[in-house]
Amino acid sequence: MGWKIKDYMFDRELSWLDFNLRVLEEARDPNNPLLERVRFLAITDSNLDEFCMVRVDRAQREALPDVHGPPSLAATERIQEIHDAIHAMVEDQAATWREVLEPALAEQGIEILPPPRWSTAQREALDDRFHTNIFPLLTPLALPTQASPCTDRSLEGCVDWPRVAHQTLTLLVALEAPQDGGRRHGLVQLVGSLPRFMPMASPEGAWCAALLEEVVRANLGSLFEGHRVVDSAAFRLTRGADLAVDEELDAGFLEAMQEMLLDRGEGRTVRLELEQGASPELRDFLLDWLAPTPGALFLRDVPLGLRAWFGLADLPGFDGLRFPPQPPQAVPELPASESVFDVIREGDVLLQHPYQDFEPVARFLQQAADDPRVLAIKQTMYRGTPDSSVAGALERAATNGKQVTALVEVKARFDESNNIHWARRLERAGVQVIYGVANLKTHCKTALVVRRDPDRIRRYFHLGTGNYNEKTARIYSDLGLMSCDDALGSDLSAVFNALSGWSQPAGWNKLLVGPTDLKPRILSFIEREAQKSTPENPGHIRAKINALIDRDVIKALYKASCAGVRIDLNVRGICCLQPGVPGVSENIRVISIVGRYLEHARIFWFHNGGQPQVYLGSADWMTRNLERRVEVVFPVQSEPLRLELERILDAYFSDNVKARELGEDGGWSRVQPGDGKPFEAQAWLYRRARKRAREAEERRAREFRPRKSGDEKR
Amino acid sequence: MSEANPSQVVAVIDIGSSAVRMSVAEIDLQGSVRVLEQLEQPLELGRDVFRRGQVRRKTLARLLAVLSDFQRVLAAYSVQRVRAVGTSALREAANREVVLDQLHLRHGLDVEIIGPAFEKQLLFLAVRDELSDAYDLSTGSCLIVEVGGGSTEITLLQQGEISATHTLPMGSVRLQEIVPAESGSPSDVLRLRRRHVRQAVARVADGMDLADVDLFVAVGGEVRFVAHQAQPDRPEGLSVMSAGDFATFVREVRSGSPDRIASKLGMPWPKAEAFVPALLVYHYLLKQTRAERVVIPTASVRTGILKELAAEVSGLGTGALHSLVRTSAVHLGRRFHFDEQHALQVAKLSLSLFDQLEAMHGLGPRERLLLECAAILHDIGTFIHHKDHDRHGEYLLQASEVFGLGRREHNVVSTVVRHHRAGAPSGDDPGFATLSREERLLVLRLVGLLRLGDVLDRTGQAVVDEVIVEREGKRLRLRIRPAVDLYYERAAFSEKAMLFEDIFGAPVELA
Repeated sequence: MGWKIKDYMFDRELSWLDFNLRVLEEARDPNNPLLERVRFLAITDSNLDEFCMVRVDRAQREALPDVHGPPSLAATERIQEIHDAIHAMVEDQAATWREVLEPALAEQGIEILPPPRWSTAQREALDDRFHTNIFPLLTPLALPTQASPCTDRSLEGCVDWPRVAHQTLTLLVALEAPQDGGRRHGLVQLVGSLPRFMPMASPEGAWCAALLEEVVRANLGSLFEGHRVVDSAAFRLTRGADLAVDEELDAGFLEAMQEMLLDRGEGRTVRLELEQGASPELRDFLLDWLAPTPGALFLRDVPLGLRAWFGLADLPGFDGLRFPPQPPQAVPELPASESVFDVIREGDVLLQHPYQDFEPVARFLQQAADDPRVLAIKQTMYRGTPDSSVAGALERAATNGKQVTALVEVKARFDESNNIHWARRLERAGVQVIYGVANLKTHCKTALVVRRDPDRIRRYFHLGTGNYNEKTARIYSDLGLMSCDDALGSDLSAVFNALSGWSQPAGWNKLLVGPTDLKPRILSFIEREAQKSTPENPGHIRAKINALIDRDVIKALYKASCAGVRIDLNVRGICCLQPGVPGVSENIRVISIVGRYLEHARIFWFHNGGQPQVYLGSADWMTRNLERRVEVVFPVQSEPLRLELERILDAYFSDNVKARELGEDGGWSRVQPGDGKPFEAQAWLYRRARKRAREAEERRAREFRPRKSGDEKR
Repeated sequence: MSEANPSQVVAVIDIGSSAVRMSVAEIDLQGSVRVLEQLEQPLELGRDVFRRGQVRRKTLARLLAVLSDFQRVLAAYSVQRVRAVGTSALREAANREVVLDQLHLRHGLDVEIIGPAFEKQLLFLAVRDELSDAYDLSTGSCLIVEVGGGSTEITLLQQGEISATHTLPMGSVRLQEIVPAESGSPSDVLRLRRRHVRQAVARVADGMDLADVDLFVAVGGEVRFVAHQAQPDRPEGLSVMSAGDFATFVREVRSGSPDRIASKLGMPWPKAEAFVPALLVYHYLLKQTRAERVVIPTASVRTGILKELAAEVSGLGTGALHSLVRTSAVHLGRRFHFDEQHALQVAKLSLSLFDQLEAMHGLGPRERLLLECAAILHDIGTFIHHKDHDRHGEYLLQASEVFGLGRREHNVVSTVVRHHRAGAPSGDDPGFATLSREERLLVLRLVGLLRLGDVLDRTGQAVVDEVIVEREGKRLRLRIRPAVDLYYERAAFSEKAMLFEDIFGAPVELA
């Protein structure tokens, strides 16, 4: 190789921003129902919030001078590029709202009315609601009265200056004392529990609302009595929250996490969003006070915090403006009347969510909890919800005297408080709860049931690409495998023994387990493909992943491409690989699908000289996942299931409706149907799930099924 | 659960030099074993013992903690039978008894210290079983090598029989003690370690015919890892690598630091340190042979013990095992140029007496095996000199290994050999004195039987085909077939029968 890998890598943050632009495209796509487009807009904003809080925080910090001296030029240039790209994106966002969605919604009778359009009656009704419902929940704060606020950022934390809450819409108010005309400033934080949209009386079939901040603004006088309100500006502050708890210190780890949660007001200023109409005086005041780095001030001519527009997307009524519902279909192999264990013993089962119901997975654990034959249940919980039926099953199993182990990952970003609460409850029920492994985030998704069958002990398990969370299972496109394969089951037991700290992992039979040998094995699969590739029988790799970042994997893919291996990648989000470069990556094609469901399943397929192998798992090709997380990638060995997965992959690579292709220059362009028929993978998958469920139901209705005495009762 | 369960869950715990390991397995009525769980926790037992002579308190505490964790796994399966063994590190620890007491007190675990010979036997049984489908061990020459933390167990098989065994006091942990990582630059350390291994292997090659070996069987965690690395498809069970590929692999990794190995091969850190030292031992042994392939089974001492447990659970015989021990004794005899005809004749006659007198001595099949070994080996001392050959025999035996005998069993056999000629053993004999009371009683009974068998072949001509015990009240009469004149035998009989008469309280005469 006469080239350097770093010359053929796209920047990950810019690639992420491209991904968010693809989501934004969906908001502009007239083929999507109107309120779904609003939802996509909200998604872009919510994505951007998280991106700024973590990635931009890190990039900005890299560009700060530190004890070693000034930052590198590369870091400085990079943060500038990132800031520029975000500025471009939010302008697109604003244009999408102002020019496209807002007028289109108005045509459908959905309108957010600015104060000038409020009728007197409406105004009075709003004032009324302000005084009864909003006012008691607001805490106006007066800011210290220095002539000019100190520019020393460290002052921000001192007693006199209130802490501005993270990503919370806030009004800065300029006040004047009537006696002496002295100026000072006040602050009103519009906490997240307040409704952002305040509906107003509207004609039948229409919906009009005022924005919370406008209603509050119209009533500022009553919040700062004794002062004259001169001016006000809405702003929103994003703090850095790249959580870094010292995991070496395991004791009190949980307490540390909780404290961090409470103290989230601590992070540095990463982004300041300010409404465009703000006066220069208020803008300068905020800049002095909150001191965003250059480029991190965003003046916006749309309402701040568009993520609140999820509420608009979910507006009751108006169902015609949303995707027609796609209720998850029954899994034909797992009818509710049968024991999940009996079915699994007959053969492996593949589950496709959200096209198919998540219920059998919950049922698997529920049946295990009540089954006297079951000896032990082990389960990883990356993110659990307190009311989750899975959690309930585990609790019950422990109460029933089974050995239950739950691995609860407390560092699931931004979901920590849920996790901790949930875990404590399990502990009280007698579940052995493990709070993650020091230094490694547990990302694998698996549930294992050890059962003493009449003939022998068997391990039944579910291995998934998604979380055990009923909510996300309806939005995320994921795959799951249920099986009782001995070698895989034994590997899974070893994974849990390792996670429990009972055993150091030795070797694995069939699983690829991060961080031990996942990456070396993935690399060796790619290398093997290159080795086996001949001009007559070229190698072929297909992978569907969420992100492709790891340099070693990219390098191995380039080498394989040079060896003639055809490589098809379906990457939802970040892709640092540069496809189509002659002599480097001309055999690599990268497409991305952004659609109704969030693509989440990882599938790895290798031609392997004509004996194809397919793997599923929780790991993306990101260095973080491959080297610093407990991940599990598993083979799907059953022939029919492998063929099924090949059909699914075919579908993903044939999409010409929601697919975009990555160009050599880093640009993404829509895949065109050309002369062929439009084909949308997600729609096809749902149609297929529905067809299979219906056929199975019809079959069952016509079938005579005598109960055999040998049937196991559960 | 109300219904009877056809299978039993058992566990084997192996307290080794670098780790504590546990296998939990299910054994069915046919005696087939299915491993359910394998656990392993690194523990620096070997480092303690090889460096300081004993297990440190901290290490003991850690051992107890690890076993607590293991107990939780046992609880989930409600395991009925647990067998725990300790190998070289525990064997050599000065405070071994303290450790064993603690394990008993805290976990109710009675740990059996197993010697190298028994270890090799267990391993051999497991390996033979695993190889049986793919390889014919009854022809050619096969070397089984297990590199452990403290020692390397070597078994040579020729034409299907165990012809020699050797225990090399060198393993992956001990090598790190002999040549510590701090003793120089990484390349110096590697060079010193390589030299050390080369020299040790050369000494093995002096006493064993390694050049003819055409099948090299490598057992152990490190080499298993190599097998995994070499084959991305990771076949279950047996792996095979060409000797060339193995050598290439060793050359590629040997100069890497443990850090590099850990990250490059995805290996947990404590293992990475022992990885290269272990591979060096295999590597240099392999180079002594003409084997073109390295066969890497999954077998371990634990698999061997599971097989034993399976034999117990299923009630299936231990015949195969005993024949192994017998063969091994014969090979040892041959090494000392013994009179094989006489040895086997004495064995035959002694065992015949043993079987006919079962009601009197009340001993079982294992003791019978010890008698057989002692009979086969009773005269090996003549290799040194005929005079005092009983004494010579004792120390030759003590310096050798009979495959498959436990340490204490081995002591019994050598004490029987020591006293096979004349006089009554007493507490003054150092060998006899170290035995427990039960073992002394056993020795006396075996010696009594052996002397009768021995005297019946005094001429060494093996003329007696059969000996038949006849009873007249308390008195025993031995009738022989064919009824030849046994002049020499008769002359010595009463003297040789004296001990027997004392022990069993029954006068005995030759018809």
